Amino acid sequence: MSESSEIQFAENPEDRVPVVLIVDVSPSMEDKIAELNDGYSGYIADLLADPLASLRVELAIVTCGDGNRFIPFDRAENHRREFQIDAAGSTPLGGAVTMALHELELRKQEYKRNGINYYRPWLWIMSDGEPNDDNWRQAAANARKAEEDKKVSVYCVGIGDAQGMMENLREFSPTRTAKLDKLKFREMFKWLSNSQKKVSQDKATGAAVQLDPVTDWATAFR
Amino acid sequence: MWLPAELSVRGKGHVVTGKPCQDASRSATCLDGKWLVGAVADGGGSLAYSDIGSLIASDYVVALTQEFIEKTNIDEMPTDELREVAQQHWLQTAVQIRELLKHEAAIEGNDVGQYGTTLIAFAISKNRLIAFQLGDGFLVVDSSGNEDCPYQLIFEAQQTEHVGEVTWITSSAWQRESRSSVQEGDFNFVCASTDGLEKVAIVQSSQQPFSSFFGPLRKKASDVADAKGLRDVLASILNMPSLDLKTDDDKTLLLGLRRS
Repeated sequence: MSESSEIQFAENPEDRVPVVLIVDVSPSMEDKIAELNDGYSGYIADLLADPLASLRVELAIVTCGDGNRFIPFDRAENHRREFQIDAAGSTPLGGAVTMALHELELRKQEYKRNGINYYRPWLWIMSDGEPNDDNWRQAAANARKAEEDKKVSVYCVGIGDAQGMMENLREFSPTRTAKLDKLKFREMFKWLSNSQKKVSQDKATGAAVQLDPVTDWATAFR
Repeated sequence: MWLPAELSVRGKGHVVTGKPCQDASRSATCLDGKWLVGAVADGGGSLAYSDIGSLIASDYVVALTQEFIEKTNIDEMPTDELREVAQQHWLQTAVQIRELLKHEAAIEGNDVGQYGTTLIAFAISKNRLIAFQLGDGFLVVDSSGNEDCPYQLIFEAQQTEHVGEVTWITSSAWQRESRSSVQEGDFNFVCASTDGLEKVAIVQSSQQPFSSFFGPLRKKASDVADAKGLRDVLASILNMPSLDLKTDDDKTLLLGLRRS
């Protein structure tokens, strides 16, 4: 455990809602990245505007492009950024999910060591393409198992119309996969911040709190 | 004779968001005041009609338990038999409450899941306690035999990995997660509450009632003459600004004192 973690937990002993966003930054996202960045910036602003959520929601990011890059857990105020496209990238989604699940487990251990209570983590996957790393199906099976074991709530959002995209994403989350309507990132991120504000202030019924419908930006999770 | 009072206060989080108080509490005495029946319920924060769910659950469990106490030869029944009969009573009562909630939801065209609530219910006499708990919150009685801590927590908190994952009475898992208990003792004090006060009333690591909370509460309550006075004591505690620093949740206290 790093010293900065200790200080972080001492300064802010609130219960945590850990969230990992997996962001596809492969070249096929080139024409969508501006809207994604715009929505993401609204998401961070929304979390910061809520006093409790700003203390409780802890964000980490895994980018999925030219390999996977992990940006560690921190409060929203330290996650202001713009995503850049990896020009040479592909979509190693299996590696991204494996990395996210691993980092979530490490973070939980840190919470436990520091006596911090935590809500069930969120894994939020956004992609417009086909996973193309070798072991992605195993990673998808691990995500389903983690969800079944109530270790994490896994959500997938398909972007665009690539063939087979939704079927592939449903391998990671059979019941919580939605297709983004046009490029409504702003509405999607608004839903995400509202939901995380709700979760961070509520008790759940074992699975999830009652979240709002997603009709502003997708048909439904299924 | 038992003297009861109960009070639920809207949490500061709900004041800010304009939500109603989703906690509810009820009490009643029966058999000439020899038995006290009480219930506290905590409706789910994100659920649209959980304030109605908690009201219905606490109202009905008290009414049906009063009837149960009056119809059952409860003072004379052997403990083993009472354990079985009481458990049946709680389960049947929970089933009836679930049906009532379904009915209410159907009439209003709502999803019954939106009425989700926890529930703690009990009936207590000088010598006996029967109790039921589904979800979080706490039920504490005095414990004359324990010198270290003169109070006893009836149901320890259930351990879950994640914060706030409780089972509502509307959940399909309600029966698996519900607990009942029968205790014999020399009871003069009972206190039930929803989870809003857990952090100040129960030592989380040892699951022991915090004497520094219950001692002064009992002392203050012992000085009052009637139910109104007791309610004023509850109001003075639930409205303490220092409590709002510990929780922004709704807060409920149900208190019963036995007087000869």
